[in-house]
Amino acid sequence: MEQVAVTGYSAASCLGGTPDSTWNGLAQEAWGFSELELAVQNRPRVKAGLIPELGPLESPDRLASLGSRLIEQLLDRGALDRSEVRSDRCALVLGVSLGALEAAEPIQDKIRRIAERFGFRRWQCISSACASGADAIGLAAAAVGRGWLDMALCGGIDTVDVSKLAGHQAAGTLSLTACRPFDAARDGTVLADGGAILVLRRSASPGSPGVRGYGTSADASGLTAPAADGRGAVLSMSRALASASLGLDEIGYINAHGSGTVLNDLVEAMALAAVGARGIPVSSTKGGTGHCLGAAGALEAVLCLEALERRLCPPSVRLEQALPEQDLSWVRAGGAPLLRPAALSNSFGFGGSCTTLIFAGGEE
Amino acid sequence: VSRDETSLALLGHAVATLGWTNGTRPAGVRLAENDRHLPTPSLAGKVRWLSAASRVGVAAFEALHGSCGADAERTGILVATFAGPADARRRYVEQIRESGRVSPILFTACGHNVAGGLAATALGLRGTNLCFAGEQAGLHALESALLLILERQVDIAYVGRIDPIAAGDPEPWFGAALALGAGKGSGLRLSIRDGGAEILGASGGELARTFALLLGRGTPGELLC
Repeated sequence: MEQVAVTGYSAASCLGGTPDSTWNGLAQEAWGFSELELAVQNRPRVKAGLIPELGPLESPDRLASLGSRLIEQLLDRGALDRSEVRSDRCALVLGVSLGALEAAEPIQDKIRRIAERFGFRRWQCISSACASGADAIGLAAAAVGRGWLDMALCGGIDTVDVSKLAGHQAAGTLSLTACRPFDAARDGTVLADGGAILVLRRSASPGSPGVRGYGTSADASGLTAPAADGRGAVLSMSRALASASLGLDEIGYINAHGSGTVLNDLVEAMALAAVGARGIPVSSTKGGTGHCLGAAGALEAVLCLEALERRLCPPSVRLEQALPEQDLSWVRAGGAPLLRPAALSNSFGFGGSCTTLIFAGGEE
Repeated sequence: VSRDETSLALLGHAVATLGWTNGTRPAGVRLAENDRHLPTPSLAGKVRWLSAASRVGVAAFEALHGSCGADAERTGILVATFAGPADARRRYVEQIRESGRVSPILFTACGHNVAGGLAATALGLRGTNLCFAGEQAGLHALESALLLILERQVDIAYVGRIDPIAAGDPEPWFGAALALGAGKGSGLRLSIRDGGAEILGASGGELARTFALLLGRGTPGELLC
């Protein structure tokens, strides 16, 4: 696909309300999680990463509030003009996973409200579980690259609530202590609020960072477990590389999905080895940001763009003893230099949705 | 955008219903009725309960695949929906509110992409599994199918809509699906343009109904009577 320029972005996570503060929180291995007792049977205690500005966990408006804050952040940073979003050639494309599950309303209603508040004429809601935000970016980039749109605001938003935390706890995907992606002692993920929105434009100055490749696949293995052979992940990475016309030897950093669950990390590490990723710096940033569900791919897209700009790969927070099955180049505390100006980011979700994005460019 | 870039071959179509007892059974509609059994043996051992959306969705995509079977690794699924798996979401949240019980089986059925994911699993399709939500979701799914084919992510896209037919207890549901590809197919083509889509060439009643259901043109109950 034609590289599409990213001319601005916003982000918020449990580590901070901006891309900078999220990056700094990761670099400092900050702890952004709280312990909650869930008001359900057996009253389990779980950890979660919350954005305090979104209000109490029970509030039905947290998701829409997060989306609006991210667009306000773009306006405040001068990344777009309020009048631009009202054009027929501009679209808001947002991914969300389960949405406000307890609000008993269609998941797209929050996105519609955000679009109406800012005057977007075109908007789309994409829901491919934890790959939603990455798919929103990939599809928006393809549409801008082909000239179907002049501009797109794309990404993902998601917030935790009691029903999601309780569901994941009952499904056995949560860690009671910490999210430790790719660690031999990993025992689950930690859910968190989070979101990120990218501004994509057709034309930008040469050397601008941009979305370079998009790959998508279905794992076709059932509801929650990845295919044991990692085929879905291999396909999404291979398709993204083909889409970007890049080889893996041109990739300087891999932001893995790395959810911290026993099975995901094992299969993803196997898939990374299978596509030939040995020697490329790899990390999962979920140990610091938590797993932001449908927004994870968008937040990690911003971290890849920050990595390209800073020429630094972010660390795999809380990785102590890497899983022994695959010999990959894990990025540890302090980060690692980014030597080639391209980054690959994986996002995988329940339902077998696998998505890979590739970003390239940045200041020389 | 050139006309060539907006046009795809129409390779097949299918409709399935669940719990729809009004009127006569329309020609060409597959029934996804039995609530106690999985619609396909290939899902046995992989899922313990299916929402109505998943049941009727898998049935529609199975019928479509049966009529135009394609290279599994290069065939993707794109689902459009307004309601998503509304029955699963409602039951999951109500159960927590009423008894505090948390069902992981219901919880894992709550995702909008679950119907497409299970259809991909049942048919072994590894192209993509995407879901679009909203009133315009049918058009968004068609546009994205066109993009994915142009970008050579997939060769064939199965594009479906899964939603309730009407209010009820239990709600009756439909799944309507088209198969699209870059080749010439049977001669029928689908033109997808900014803000609209149309079938190019003669189209019979069954195809017109599938197309209308996918795009949300008309009332599902009237289209299926």
